[in-house]
Amino acid sequence: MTPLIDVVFLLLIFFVCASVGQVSESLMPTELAAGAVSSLAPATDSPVASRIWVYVRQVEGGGLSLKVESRECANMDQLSDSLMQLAELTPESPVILDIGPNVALEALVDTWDICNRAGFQSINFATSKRQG
Amino acid sequence: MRTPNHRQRTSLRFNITPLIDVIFLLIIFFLVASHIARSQAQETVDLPDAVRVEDDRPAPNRLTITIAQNGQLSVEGAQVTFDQLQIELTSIAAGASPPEIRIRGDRNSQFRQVEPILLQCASLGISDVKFAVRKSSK
Repeated sequence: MTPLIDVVFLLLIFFVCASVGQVSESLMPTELAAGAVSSLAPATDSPVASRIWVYVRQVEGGGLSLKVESRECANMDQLSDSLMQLAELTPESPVILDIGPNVALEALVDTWDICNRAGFQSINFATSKRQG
Repeated sequence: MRTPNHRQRTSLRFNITPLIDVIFLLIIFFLVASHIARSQAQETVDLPDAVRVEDDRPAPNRLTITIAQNGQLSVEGAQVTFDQLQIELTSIAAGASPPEIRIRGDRNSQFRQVEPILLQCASLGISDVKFAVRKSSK
């Protein structure tokens, strides 16, 4: 019995030590429309559903400029509300994220997560087609 | 007169307790070794938070790209330039099973550092691109 208790305690100590300071990572699922570079535009382009453009820009002073189509949003909560309303009407509309080059990855992930939670079926990145 | 037939009977019972001890110690050793190997291969970055996430599942053909706050790229723990990364992406795209790209970007890294990777993946036909995040309960 004694060796068994030894081993059980060793295992316990191992798992306690291994779990301390460990940050579990999760994954945010994103599906790129692969193929030619220009096909980063929506793959499921339905003639009925119109594209919803979301603009995220970094402004001087550290803030973010958020826009859904032409509607300005003061913060992420307003952006979330706007996208929730749109998703209730047309969840099949492809969302195109136009992210500024200086925007932090955190804002990109937030915006994608909001679109995902709103229930949009297709979320894409806008990009400028490069020459050559 | 009968001589006593005393065959000394020794017990041949095999004591398995030390064997079990050693096996358990080996298991612990390999668990610790694999844990250390995995944590050393990935640099520590401050990941962004997201609500809708999926759990990490092992993928046979995965490439993990780490983007530090200053834009430095690392692949499997080794610092690389974008040209080297392009070679890595091309080779993984040519693999037998469909590739999975995991981007571990610091929350303060900029989109200008992420966009070329996304473009390269798209042009190579890699559609399975995932961002590593921390699960948020917000």
